This record gives sequence, C-alpha cells and structure tokens, in this order.
Amino acid sequence: MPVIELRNLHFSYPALDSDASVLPLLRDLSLTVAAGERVALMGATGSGKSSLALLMAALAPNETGGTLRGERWILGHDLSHTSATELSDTVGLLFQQSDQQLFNMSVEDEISFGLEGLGLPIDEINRRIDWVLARTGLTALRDRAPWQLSGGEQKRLAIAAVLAMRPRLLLLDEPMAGLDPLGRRAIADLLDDLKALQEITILVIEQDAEWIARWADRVVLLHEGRILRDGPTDEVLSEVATLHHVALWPPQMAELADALHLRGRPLTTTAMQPLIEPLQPATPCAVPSGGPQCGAAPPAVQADALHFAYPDGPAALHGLSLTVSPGEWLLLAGPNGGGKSTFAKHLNGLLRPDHGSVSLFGQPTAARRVGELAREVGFLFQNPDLQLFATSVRDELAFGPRNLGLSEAEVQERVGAALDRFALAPWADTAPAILGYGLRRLVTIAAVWAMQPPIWLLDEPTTGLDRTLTLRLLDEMVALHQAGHTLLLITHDLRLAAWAERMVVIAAGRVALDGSPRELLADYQQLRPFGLRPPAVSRLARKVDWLPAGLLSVDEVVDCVGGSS
Amino acid sequence: MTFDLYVPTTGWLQRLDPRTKLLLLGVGTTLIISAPGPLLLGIWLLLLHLVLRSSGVPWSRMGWVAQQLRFLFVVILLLFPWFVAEGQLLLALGPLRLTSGGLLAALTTALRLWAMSLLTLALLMTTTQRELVRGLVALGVPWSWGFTLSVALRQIPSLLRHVQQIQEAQAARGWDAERGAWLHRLRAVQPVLIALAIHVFRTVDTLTLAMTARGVGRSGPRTVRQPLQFTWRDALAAALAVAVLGVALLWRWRGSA
Repeated sequence: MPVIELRNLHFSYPALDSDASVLPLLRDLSLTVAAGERVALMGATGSGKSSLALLMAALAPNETGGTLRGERWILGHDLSHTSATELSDTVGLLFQQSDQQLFNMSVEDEISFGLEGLGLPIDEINRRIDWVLARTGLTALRDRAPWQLSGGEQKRLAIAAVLAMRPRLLLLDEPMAGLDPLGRRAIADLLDDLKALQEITILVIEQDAEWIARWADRVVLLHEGRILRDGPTDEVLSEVATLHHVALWPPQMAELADALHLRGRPLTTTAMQPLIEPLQPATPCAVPSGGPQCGAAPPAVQADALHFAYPDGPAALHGLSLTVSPGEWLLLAGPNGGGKSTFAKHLNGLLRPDHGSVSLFGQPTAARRVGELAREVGFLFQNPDLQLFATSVRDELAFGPRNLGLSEAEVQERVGAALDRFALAPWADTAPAILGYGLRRLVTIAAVWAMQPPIWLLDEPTTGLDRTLTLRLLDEMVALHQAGHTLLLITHDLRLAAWAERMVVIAAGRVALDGSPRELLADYQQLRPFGLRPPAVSRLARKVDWLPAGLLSVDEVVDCVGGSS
Repeated sequence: MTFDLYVPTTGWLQRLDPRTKLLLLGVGTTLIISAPGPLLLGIWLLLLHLVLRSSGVPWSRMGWVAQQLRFLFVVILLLFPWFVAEGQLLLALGPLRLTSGGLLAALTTALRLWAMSLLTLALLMTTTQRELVRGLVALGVPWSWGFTLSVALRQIPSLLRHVQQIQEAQAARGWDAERGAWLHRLRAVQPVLIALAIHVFRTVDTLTLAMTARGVGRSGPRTVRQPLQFTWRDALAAALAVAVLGVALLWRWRGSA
C-alpha cells in the first residue's frame, strides 16, 4: 500500500475578490509515494507546493476553503472522508513559518501537547519527550519558551513536536528557509539522522538543490499545477534546462557538467573532481582581477568604533568600524546574532550607538531624524509583509515619497516610473497584501526605489524567491550599481558574492573579515568558524590543483577550462 | 521585551500550587482594599516586598513596578488632595483648598494602587503562564478557555516584536509618528496598525491549521502530564493567609465597633 496516492487532483482556492476569476492551482496532478521513500518536492515560488502539502494533511480544502476534484489516499485513508485531526497521529506537517506553528509556553509543553491530546499514559509521554529532545538536540532547552529560541531551534522544535507523535508520514515545508548557515547545518544533520528511521516516509519541500542532491532519493518537479518531472535525484537534478525552465537553481556541479558536456551526472564536488581533473588546459588560466576603486569623495558610509547593547541584553556591537565607498557593492555575511542587522539599523538611525559615530557622505547621523535619513538610506527588510499596509500598490509606492515631503506631482511621477520599471501596472489598484510572495517582494523593492536613496541596504532579499525572481532582483541591483548607488547586501547565500565587489564578515559585533569575495572564498577555511559555506565552485577550485582558487561562478570555471572539453 | 515577568528560581512561592497563589491573591486583595490608611498599607507593602524577596524575586524587578507607576503617583499626589476637603486647612488658592485629610487620602490611594499592582504582578512573577492556566482550569475554568488564554498569552511577545519590526520598516520609509499635530500623529499610526492587522490575520490562519494538524478538537480524554499537586506547603500557606485575613478583619471590626 503506498503511503501517498494522489489521483488526478484539481485544486483552486476561492477568489479573494468577487470580480476576480478563480485560477486553478493544481491541474490533473497524480503522485504515488511508497513507504520509506525520501522525496523532495521542488517548484517555483507560488507553484502550489505548500498547498499540496496542506491537501496531503487534509487541511485543505477542509480548513482553507477551495474546490477540489480527484482522489487522495494517505496511508490507506480516503481523505474525502478523513479529517486533519484524525490524521494528526499519522501525518506530521512542518509549516514554512514554523515559529507560527508553536503555541505553547515551553519546549516540553510544545512536544507534549499533541501526545496529551492522544490520551497517552504519562510515562509514555515523558519517554517520547526525552527521545525526541535527544534526537533533535534540544534537551538543554527543554524549559525555554519557544519565542526565546533561535530560528533554527524553533524549526527543530516544530519537527520534534510532530516527530513525537510517531507519524508514518512527515511533510516538511521548506525546513531550511530563513535560517543562517549554522541553523541550516543543524536541520540538515537532523534530517540526515531521520533518514535512518525507515518506518517514516519523508516528503520535503525545498528549493536548495545542493542539499537535496545529498539527501533525497527522488525529486518531483511541480510546474504550473502539474508534475513536470519525477525521477531519481541524480537524474532530475542533472537536467539543467528543465530546472531553469521551472525557475530553480540546479546544483552548481550539475550546471558545470552541463556547460562542459560531462557525463556521469555529478552533483557534488567530490563527484565532479575526477571528471574535471583530466580537462586541465595547456595554459593555466588567470583569475579575473579588479576591485572597488576608492576615490577622493567622502565615503558613503563611515562607521567608527560602534558600540551598542540592547536594553537588558548583551552587547551587540563591540567597536565595529567600517568604511564603504560611494558606488561600492558590499556583501555582508556572518552568523545570526553576530551584529549584521544591528549595524545596518545604525545607518538609518533606527538604532543609535552607545559609543562611536556614523556618517553618511561625510555628514554625521547623530542629530538627524530617521525620517530624514530615509532620503539617503533605503532599507529593504527580509520580510516584505512588515511594510505592506496600503489598499493599493499605487498607494504603497506613494507612501515613501510622500513622507519625504515631495509635491503630489513628483510623488505621482515617481509612482508611475516605479510601476513601469517593475512591471507592476497590472496590479496598481490591487491591495499588495493579497498578492503572491514574489509580487509582494517586488512591491517592496519598487517602494524603496520610488524614494531614490543613494544607499541601499538589502537584508536577505532573496529569501523565499525562486531562481527567476532572484535573477530579476539581481538585475535590478546591477542596474542600481551601474547608476552609482551604494549597495549593502546582507545575505547567507554566498553564490551572490559573484556579483559583489567586496565582502565583509561581521561576527561577535565586529568586522571579522574584510576583502574581495575572491580573496575570502579562495581561502574559505577562514569562513568556517562563522558557519559560512562557500558555493560549490569555490570548493571545487580548492580541490582541483590546476583550478585557481577564488573562482566564484560556474561561468568562471567554464572560462578556465576553455575549449578543452 | 518578552512580556514574561516570571522569575525562574526555586523560591518557595514559585513552588506553591497555582491554586494556592490565587487564594493568596484573593486574601491580599481583601487586606489591601480594607486597609484604612497609609500606615497599614505601608506595612502591607513592606511585607509584600520582603515576602517576594524571600522567594528570590530581585529588588530590581519589584522596583520596576514602582517605576512604571511613577507618573500615576505624581498625578494622584498633585491632583487628588484638592478634591478632598477634610481635616486641617493647609493652603488656599482661590476656590481650591489643600487639607491634611486630602493629602492623607492622596497618599492612601497612591499606596493602595502600588500595593495592588505589586500583588497582582507578584502572581505573574512567581507563576509561569502555563501554571496559571492549569490553576484556572483546575478551579473549574473549561480547558478550551484555559487553552485559549494560554495561546493568547503566548502571542503577546510575538505581537510586541512584530509591532517593533513594523515600526522600524515604516520608519525606514520616512514614516514619523512623533512629529506634527496630535491628529497627524494619530493618523500616522495607521500604517503600523494595518500591517499588524494583516500579520494577525495570517498568524491566526496558520495557527488554526497548525492546531488542527496537532489534533486540537480530537474526541476522547486528554492526559494531564503534570497534574497540580497540593502539598503540605500549600496547606500551610493557605492556612496562614486565612488566619492573617481573619485577624485583620477582626481587628478592623473591633476598631469600628
């Protein structure tokens, strides 16, 4: 008996607006998963992956509304006659926003909640709590409140809470999303560990093909409501054109193999090494050089010996000093809690240093209000929903320029330009809150763009975006950079280092490393203490003797190999 | 800010059954309300501070309560005396009269407010939110009500954090709620409230799904993993509290007779 059997599913959510037509999310989708399989479900942002998980847990359409046709069988239960509550001890679901999934007062209570609901004996509940805490590495945190945990710990707790119910099917929706490298590693270790539990079938929704390549046995690609491809991991993830078509990043080694027409479907640097080593060109290739040119103009950002501590908290900045030249593209990396965001908030006055000073274009910020500094620093927050509130995209875009005190004619001019530039005109009169995630992110970028700040601070802007949307964002950043804007990009994704001119690692409230991305990634052992994982091409360049260290992208490796293949 | 006042120590108050602490709260409230003047209220306040200290609550946490009330104290002490015309006349400013009775009444009101606030917060300083809910359920409040209260309390820190994040995101776009006329300031809060409302609707949506997936609403009996235990300590504390209440009320009755 298959664990999951979906036959000819058609599903659509109810329209949010009575005038809008209902678009089908899933169309004639069929999927079978056998017991013990480790399956990755991949697809673009908004392709319906999370909705499919809700359908498999019987939460949709029962709790969400919507129209469903087709058959769903989970562990022999016909879901047309089974409620989500009845499935709660056999199907475990990790939500994408796992912090919102936690509703108890302590780690232990969170885990015991479902078990108490099953009416299990107290001894059995305590045994399961101990087992699952040990398995997820949370034993030392058992009395903490869930909101006091880090993002990675919250994800592990949410997994622990469903794992304690001993489900036979585990559905994990983007377990890595929004985590720093250390948090990701902890989740990856946990999921590696869970692979050993043969009695649990696991279906993971994830965009990170590099990790999927190491973990999953099978990959299912969802595209436009249908399953476009379903097969063994090495086969599906080697189909670079297909992955690009569905807006996914293939593993870098698959892209490289595809570009060099290599056989053998290598997905990891270890698999790639023996295939690329014989391709050594006759003449050694040189690493492209170049870096930021610092002119005589005053720095765009000058932070001197910043010290800052949150009320009742430990010091977040310990004498951080950093100078950024006008027009520079800086990538800021480092572990969560290291001080990146705290530093960023000092630039637009959201936080003021206890000691030290900040200047923008030579002007100290100490006596200037946040509203005034917004003219110079545009801040794109990680979560787009924090800043969306207007009843139309048009009003949302006008909010910032109006706050700057521009005339109504100027405001409308900027709004019109932003709508055109970001192709948002079709949604100009739609409430941004009801748009899909990708469009919401685009609206927030357009809203900052309409303020035309010379300095842009982007905090993890690519979180939750698929390849197409990420490239769209990067195109925009390239255009801003070419127009002379100063860009500070906070990210854990070191693939983006290929676009930046300079990379700074902030940890323990100080600048820990500062150099060109090429220099820092050439000797990436120095990144390890900060939990940063270099892109696969940089790791490959260290493994293959004749490849110069510090390569940043697949294209650079291909250029290096030249026509030798 | 976590909105959790609980002081995690193994003090004797922390170890009491929450039902006992609810009883102590009731006794304390009666004593404070029935205290006729500032002297007795001052004694109760001093005792309350000492009791809390003996259970590991730091002075700073208790001082925080007084600090939060300081504005109200000033208002009460400055305005209240002018509305009570009893006792000796101390000062006359046109139609306004400042009397010794007015000053005494203002001091009594301020001390009563302080004592009541500290007493109520003492419950939260020595009882986890989880125990409080269990205590209420054990006293007959339906489980679904207790669970709802617990979820609501759990959401407070998240909501506060979110309000701060939204304010920062809006301020970064030039929003300034602290400038301009009063009406302008009120209107300027609108973006934060709307963004917060959208967040709350989304959170409620996810929470509903998460709870359903974890079996909320499942029929059959629930296990209580950590049943409350009424020990000899609770019996002693309850007996002492009732005794103190009895003596105080008797004293009051004899005094007025």
